[in-house]
This record gives sequence, structure tokens and C-alpha cells, in this order.
Amino acid sequence: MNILIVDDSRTMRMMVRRTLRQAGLNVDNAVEAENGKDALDKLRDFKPDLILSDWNMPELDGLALLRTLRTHRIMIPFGFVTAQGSPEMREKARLAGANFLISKPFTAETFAEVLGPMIKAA
Amino acid sequence: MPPSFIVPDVKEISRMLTTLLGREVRVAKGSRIRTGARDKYTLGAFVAENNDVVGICATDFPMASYFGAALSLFPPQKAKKCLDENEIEFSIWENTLEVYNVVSRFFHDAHEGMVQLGPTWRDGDEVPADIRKFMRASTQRVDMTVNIVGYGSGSMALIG
Repeated sequence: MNILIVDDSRTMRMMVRRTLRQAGLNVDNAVEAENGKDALDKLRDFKPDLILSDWNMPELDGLALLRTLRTHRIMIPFGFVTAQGSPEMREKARLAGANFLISKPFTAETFAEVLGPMIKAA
Repeated sequence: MPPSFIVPDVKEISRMLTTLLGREVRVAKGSRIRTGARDKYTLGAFVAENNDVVGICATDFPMASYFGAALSLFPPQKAKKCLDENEIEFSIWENTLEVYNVVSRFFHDAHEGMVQLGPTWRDGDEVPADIRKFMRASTQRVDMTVNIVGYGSGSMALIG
């Protein structure tokens, strides 16, 4: 499986990579983007099976990224990995077309539980 | 109407920080963090969708350094170097900001819509009068001593 990791924090991108490994998830290739705009640029050449995105980012935030993708009928599975975790924000994410929302701080167990079925299915 | 800021239990804060940093973090209630003109401290302000400040996380200089180092698994010596040189280097500071970002979750339930990390101040930055007033006036706060095992201890406060 190929994954696009979108987060403005370099450390958080590294932590997502590390947690994917710790969760035992079989990721062939992970590409990083530092905001939504950068993600759209990366998507010109990279075709991921899954996008893991932060919500709050400069330039183009995660929700705007998701809405842009869905508007263009790009239906790549999309999940938020974010400090936002209230029921209201989860509902907003769901309505925009997100497949899931993982709250920071996250654990390998959470990644395995949420992402495991998707990665096995890919 | 949403509830006002509910001061979280130190055990909950300890659990959150332990998960975030991937190592044991011991948290206990402590004395009020020093944020006087001569004190070295850093701040992150949390803002609602209308940009009103709804909460603040304050950390003393050692705490900010240890948070920043521990998040990236930098060796503790890198944080100690910041303390020796009396300056938080950028690679540490950007991690401290990520810790503040995650801490914003303690303010989510008290406000409708999105609450996110807004302006931040490193030691030496001039803190605006309205932020100083917010910290002085708030009665909803928890001041803590936080020990990141393997790194060190410092002071932290959540103020809502």
C-alpha cells in the first residue's frame, strides 16, 4: 500500500511513519507533504491508496484538501490524524467524505485497529 | 451554551502526555508557574473560530526544552544544551509547538466549533497585555510539575 502523509510538523510526519511500522502495517511507499497545497502537488505524480492528513495546516488545511479532492471526484480513502477530536469536528469530517479520524496523541494499537482492515483490503 | 473550561485531572494530562511522548510522564499539581517580566517561559494560546483566545498553555524554559526534545526522541543532552545556552533552538521549539497543538484537546469541549493553537511566544518575545491579563484573571487553571522520565522536570500550566 502507498500512503500520502500530510502534516505541517516534520516530527509528526516522522511519528506517523514510525507508528505505521510499530502497528505492523504493510506500507510499501510513504510520501510526505507539509500542507494541503503541497499534497495536491504531490498527487500529480504519486497515486496513494490512502491519505493520512492533519487538519490544521497553513496554505491549505486538511478539510479544504479533502473537499478539493472530493469535488474533483478523487475518491482516495482519506483519514484525519489530528488534535481535533470533538464530536462536532468528527461529524464535519464525515460529511466532507473522510473515512475516519484518529485523534492525537495516537498509539500503534489505534493505527492497527483503524488502518489494519483498510490496508489488508488494498 | 457550551460549558466553560473544565480543568482536567492531572492523571488525564499524564496519560495524554505519556501517549504523545511514548515514555512515562509524571504529572503532579505544583505551584503557580512564574510568568513575571524576568522569568523565562513560553506560551501557546488557543483560539476559537472567531479568533478569541479561549485558553493558554504556559511552560517554563526547562519544560519547553524537554517537551521539544522528547517528542522527536532527541537525546536529553540536546535539551540540556538549550538550558546551558539559555536559548531554545528551532528544531526543539517546533516540537514544543506540536505538544501545544495536541494539548488544545483539553479546550475542545468548552467551546463550539474548532479550537486550535493560535499565537505562540518564545522566551524573550513580548507577551501582549491582553494575554497577560487573561493569565492573571483566570480562575480556571491547573499548575503542574511535569517530569518526563529520562529527560527532566519543569513547570506547566493550562489556563482557561
